[in-house]
Amino acid sequence: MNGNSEVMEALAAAKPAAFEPTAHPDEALRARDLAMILALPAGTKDGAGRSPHRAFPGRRRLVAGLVALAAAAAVLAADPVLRHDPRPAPAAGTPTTATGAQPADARGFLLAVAERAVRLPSPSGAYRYELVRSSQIQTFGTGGKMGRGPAYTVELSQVTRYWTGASHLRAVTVREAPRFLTPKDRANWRKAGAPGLTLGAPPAKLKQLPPNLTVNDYRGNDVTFTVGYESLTLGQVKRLPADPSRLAARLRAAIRPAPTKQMLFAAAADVLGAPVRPEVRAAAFKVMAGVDGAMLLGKRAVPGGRTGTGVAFRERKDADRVYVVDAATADLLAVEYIARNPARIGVRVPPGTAIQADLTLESGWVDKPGQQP
Amino acid sequence: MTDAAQRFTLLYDQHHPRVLAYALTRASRPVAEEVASGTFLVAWERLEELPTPELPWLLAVARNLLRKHYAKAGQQEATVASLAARAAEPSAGDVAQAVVERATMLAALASLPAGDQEALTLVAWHGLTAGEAATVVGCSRAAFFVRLHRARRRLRAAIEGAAAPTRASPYDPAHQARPSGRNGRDHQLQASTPAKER
Repeated sequence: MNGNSEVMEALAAAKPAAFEPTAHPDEALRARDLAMILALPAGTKDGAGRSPHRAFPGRRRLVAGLVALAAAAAVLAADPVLRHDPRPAPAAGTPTTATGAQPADARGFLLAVAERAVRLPSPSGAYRYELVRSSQIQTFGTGGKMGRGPAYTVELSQVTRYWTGASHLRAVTVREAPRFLTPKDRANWRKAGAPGLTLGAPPAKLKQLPPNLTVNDYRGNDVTFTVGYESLTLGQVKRLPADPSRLAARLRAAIRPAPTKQMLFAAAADVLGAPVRPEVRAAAFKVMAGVDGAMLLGKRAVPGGRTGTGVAFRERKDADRVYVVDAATADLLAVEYIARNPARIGVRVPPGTAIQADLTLESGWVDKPGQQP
Repeated sequence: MTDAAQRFTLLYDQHHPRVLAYALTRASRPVAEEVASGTFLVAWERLEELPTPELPWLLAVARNLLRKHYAKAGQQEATVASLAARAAEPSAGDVAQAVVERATMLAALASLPAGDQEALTLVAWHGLTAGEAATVVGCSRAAFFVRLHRARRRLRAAIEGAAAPTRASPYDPAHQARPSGRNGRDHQLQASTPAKER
């Protein structure tokens, strides 16, 4: 073997077959990748040439009263949010009550969904698949914990695909690039030194940002679900009672630090994000129906294309939490935190803006993690 | 589907197999698949800035992701040759002579520095020109030529000395890199662009 070309030919011939590219991408990988990537806007690098996505914190959290913004007592008052969503005629798929009438209020709607939940067909796969987008709009540079000025307002978000099985949870999270509300916000961010921005954390040095693509696999008791203020293991989730009274008592224990009716409602909504039996889902809807103060909004579009029925709960004087339920599948499609008086919350957005949201963009059942319905 | 999505899908279909094949020469399959995914995520984010041809740029992104993966995991990078040795387990249908020749070549490759292995396989296995390979490793075309020339010379010398019975077989566990990839619980990849693209 003397010539250079001969050496290279011999090396090429020694290439293991396992390293040969396939003619086409693997179908399952392709479906997963395209669905995940195309869900993001193209060209999402920020001005620093980075896409500061955020690592999933590692535990399943389906919103509820866990946002730092949420606190204080509820005060029912005039409602600009509801004026944005005049109550329409019931949408297709809106359930009827046992008497055949359309639900006229949140309680009737939630009870009808509870009835529906136990009549749904059994799951068709070993894993529950969900694509969830979590976002929050914040104004930084206003002093104190929000840092020194100039002030800028930005939406921070991440998209997570969950595969939840009997004893395994896989979460694949992609942090989205920050979205500045106006060019001036972006300019002020640059003036502030263009700090790294990530959901759920204060502005930081770019080096401190977590990875923008994170894959977490949890097994056994490492799989936990946030219900109220507790983290429940899969075993504890499976033991949640199907009797509405007993479930309500269990949820009250989970919200003991702040046992308000808003938190009870939110904790019951948390149960809908956990892998519980249909009877327990129904019980959760019944618990929600039993909490005074929920308002029926009617048909409500969820950013991302799905439509459900909105139920609002006044969490505090300045904000509402809106739960969007798909009446046909008894799924919780979205939980949005709507700022009625953003100035008092410290966020510079128009009144009625959803400043925090968890949106379930896709869901279904599959046989293995990585697959999509 | 938007024009951008159509363009990206075409890009994915055209290049994903080669990006994955490249990653498989540097990491275990689970890691390689995530690296390929992360590479195309970066491509989507930089869709309007992609150079032509795209493949060298994509491989450069994948190369950076692999480096970050190993750095984060605190592991030594798996070399091409060590993974090739594992991937080239002979099957029942292989001719004995071919098995010996491949084993000899892979043993020779494994005896070279990692940089030499990379330069040689980018050209011989991944079919890149010297200019394209230079883009992947982030150096000039002239510098890559020099590197490739030296690597070829060392490979030839290694092959010629391979008949010595004391040389380790590529199947010798001592020649295999430590297992790469996830620790079973947290597996994280930092998507990034090639340094020169920043």
